[in-house]
Amino acid sequence: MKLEKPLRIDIKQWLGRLGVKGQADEDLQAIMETCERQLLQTAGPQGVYRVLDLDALRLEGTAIQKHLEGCGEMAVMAATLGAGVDRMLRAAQIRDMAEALILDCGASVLIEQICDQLEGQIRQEAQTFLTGRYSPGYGDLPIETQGQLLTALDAGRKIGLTVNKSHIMIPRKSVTAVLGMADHPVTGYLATCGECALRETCVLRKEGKSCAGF
Amino acid sequence: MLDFRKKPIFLDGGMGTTLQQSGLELGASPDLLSLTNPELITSIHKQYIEAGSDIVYANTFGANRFKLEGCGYTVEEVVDSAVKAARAACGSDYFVALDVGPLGELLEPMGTLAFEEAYDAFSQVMVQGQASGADLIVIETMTDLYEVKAAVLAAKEHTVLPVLVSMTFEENGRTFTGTSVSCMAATLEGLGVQAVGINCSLGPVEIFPLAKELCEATKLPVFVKPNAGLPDPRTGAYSITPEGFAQAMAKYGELGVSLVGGCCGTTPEYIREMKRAFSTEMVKSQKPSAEKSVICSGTQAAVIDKVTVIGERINPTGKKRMKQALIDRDYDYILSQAVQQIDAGAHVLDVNVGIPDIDEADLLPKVVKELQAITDLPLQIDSSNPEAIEAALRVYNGKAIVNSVNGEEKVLERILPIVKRYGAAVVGLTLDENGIPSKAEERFAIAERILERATAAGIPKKDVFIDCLTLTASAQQAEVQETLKAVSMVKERLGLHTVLGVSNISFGLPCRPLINRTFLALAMENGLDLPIINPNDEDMMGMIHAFEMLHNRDKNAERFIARYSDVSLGTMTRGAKQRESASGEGEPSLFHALEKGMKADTIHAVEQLLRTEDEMTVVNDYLIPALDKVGQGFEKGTIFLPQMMQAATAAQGGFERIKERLANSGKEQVSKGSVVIATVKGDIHDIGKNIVKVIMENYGFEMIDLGRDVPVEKIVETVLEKDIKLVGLSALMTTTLKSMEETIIAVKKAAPTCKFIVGGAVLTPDYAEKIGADYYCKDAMKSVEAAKEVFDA
Repeated sequence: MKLEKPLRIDIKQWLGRLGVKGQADEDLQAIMETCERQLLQTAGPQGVYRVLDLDALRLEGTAIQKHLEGCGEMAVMAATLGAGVDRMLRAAQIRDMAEALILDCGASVLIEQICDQLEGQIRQEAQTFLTGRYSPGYGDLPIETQGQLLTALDAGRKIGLTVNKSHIMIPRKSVTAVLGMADHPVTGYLATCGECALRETCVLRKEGKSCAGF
Repeated sequence: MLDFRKKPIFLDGGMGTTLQQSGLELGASPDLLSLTNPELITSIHKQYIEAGSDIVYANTFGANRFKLEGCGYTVEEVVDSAVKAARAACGSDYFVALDVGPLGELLEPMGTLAFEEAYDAFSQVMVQGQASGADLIVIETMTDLYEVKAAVLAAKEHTVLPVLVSMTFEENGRTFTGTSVSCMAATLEGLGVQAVGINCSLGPVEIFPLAKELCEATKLPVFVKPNAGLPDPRTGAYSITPEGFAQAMAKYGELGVSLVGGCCGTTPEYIREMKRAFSTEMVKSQKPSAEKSVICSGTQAAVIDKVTVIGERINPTGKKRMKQALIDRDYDYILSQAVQQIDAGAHVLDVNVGIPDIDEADLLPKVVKELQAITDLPLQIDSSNPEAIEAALRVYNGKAIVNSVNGEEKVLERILPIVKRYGAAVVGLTLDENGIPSKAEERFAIAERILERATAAGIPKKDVFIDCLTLTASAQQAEVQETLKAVSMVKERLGLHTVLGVSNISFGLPCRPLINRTFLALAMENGLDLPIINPNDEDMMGMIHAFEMLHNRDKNAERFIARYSDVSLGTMTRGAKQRESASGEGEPSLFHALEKGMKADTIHAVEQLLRTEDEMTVVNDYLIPALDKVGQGFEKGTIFLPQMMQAATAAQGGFERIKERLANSGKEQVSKGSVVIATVKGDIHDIGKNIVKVIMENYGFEMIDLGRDVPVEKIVETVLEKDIKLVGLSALMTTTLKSMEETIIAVKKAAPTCKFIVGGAVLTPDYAEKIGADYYCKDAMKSVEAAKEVFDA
């Protein structure tokens, strides 16, 4: 289904991804505004979700099991900014690498905002209690799970989202996630750094933070 | 034999839907059922025949080598059993279509599957489909026109069966990959399919306006297979009843649609109801036909109903820097020329890679692939080499222009069939064995002959464009008017579109722009539709926009005002503002300009310096120290990545000016060492690699960029061939780190002294060491340091 674009891209998140501490100076701000316009114009956000039994998919790893503990069903979702953004990012890298970098990071923030929106819709339609989103590649849920989720959602047909042999989603700016559903309040479970595949390289961790407390 | 003039022809409804009703599991492959339970498949086909279908789609939608991988059966087995299961239901009274769906992996440039690989995979299906006795081929539910092209070529080149194609559109009239209805129509009509259509994704009500557009865009029979309305996102149930579907479908008769059926959510009941509602009288015998000249890329169509600008900059003639880029396979430079022309407002890009001693048939298709990865504009394939033209047209996504043929018999004989086979438009030059005739009448006669021969070759008149040839006013002044006269004769008497290369007119005269502009205005007034010009020349573009407005084709001067409302005469600059100094006065300091990331000022400062300093001094004493300062700021955290990249981009502009100067004066290029850089096999994340490339280039390293998803062998080959001392590899996924390791092992085996720098989000110093890399670089500046160490040692 088609999803609405937000009016703005979250500037705080965007600067964070660019590695900029504090505020953007005037020049950067001006470029980010141009990039924001381009992104919002080009993005064609689409999303799809389905409610499944917990055993409908093989989800490996201990963290996802904990995440779904106490849940009766799960919602599986996928969202993408579409192929136009990929094309725009390719051309931008020829035109001006600085802008390409800013656009790329902006697109990453935008897809998260789109996911928030889809999650909101799921919550509204589910009329039950849900955990947060949990995605393949996070904690010890293998990135290889990506393909399984997309097949279950028929995502290629429904929103044009596919995965290649290396488990990279195409279009690039896309997200899949699993949310637990229960008839009582559930918080889900965020993987600890010890379980996380990215523990050695995580920037947050180097700064002594964790995404669980983000 | 299937007669598409008979209307309406009834297709079947959903296979997957009916199978799921029979208890097919979620995510399970329906394709194998033809082998494991052929009776079930036959019984579903039978239900459709009984409901009134003339054609049934065999259960082969996902029967290809990618989707069947690891299932334990061959593609041939699955296709054969499916076609036979359908035949068992149809006998010889009804038709069995080989159903060909998407491969399930996206093609380049979006994905990693090569066009040629897709063609191979489709060929395997087509060959078996025909051998098993299918009556026709339906390529359906496609969203990528490029994939469709691979499938159509595979069908046409391996079978004699009729080919029908339907694509899947969203409500905005585009497929997920951005193909529009008009792009599909123009490309597929050119490729010679028997019918085009729309299926899946939407219901009959939503598809109706798209089908209308399709009917208007093509002469081919049109077919539709909508879903049973829209699915409920939670349950997946479809919204329309068989009666509602039938009612909505009956309206398609008015459009002249010839074949109708259903897709997801439809069952035999839907087809039965539809057939009841769809009386023959409701189908118009004639649907409106399309006479417009359209060329397109996979995503953007250019209708030649206004002056259509062909950008001429990708052509090495008289351009030493471009020549060198082609020899070096420096695609970034070639693509940067494309991007400039796109931003300047070109409608079509000419692509010419003809230089002596270059393998044009190898290079031209490569450049075409690179270009279509970054631009939506249609391309003009500019070559006289038939092999090169064919190779380029084959991999081109859309409907291109071929430039050119001429009145010479052997040229027409050789090239027109290629143009026809790939469904391109063609430019005919009004010259022949005897050269360029001086008189307009004689040039007209050649144009007439070219048209006649093109028509005989099966190329529609609307796809033949004539170039009456611009001669140089300084040498053949009297003939300028003959060219103009010929243009007007071709336009009026033959009704063909006309092309002219404009700037040749002023060769050898002072103040060339003035002559070019004046000639362009005269030519347009005489009927020139497709000027080949430098679109970066704003005076020429302005002339065209003013012309369109004065001819009342730019209604309410909308386009003119949008382009020029904030431009003051005398400083005709427009478009994306460069980062420029506030004052714009005085001598900008290179340091200041670069640090602030002001590209135009940096280039200006480099030009100033080059008046007194040689190229190497500018690089070593100015550009690099300035970059160092920025780099130190980045290390200290006073400058952030975006600012550093702006500085690097500005430096890149300055560096490009130096390269141009060296190329023009025939001097050696700056090189502090050659470095191969690549994103490893399987991985397509390349922004990090490109950042490193730009920064290293600024430090004078010659970067040989092999791109993304680069096979191990290609890296080994390049290292050996160019005697490379340093390779940079990038991988962003835990799943592709393996390829990084394989690459390092293979290269070190072949070239033991070659060093490696590696980087990527999931990489760690420990892991880098473990896989045999020499330097772990957490950012681009670290790569520069490592490279200095390697080359200074």
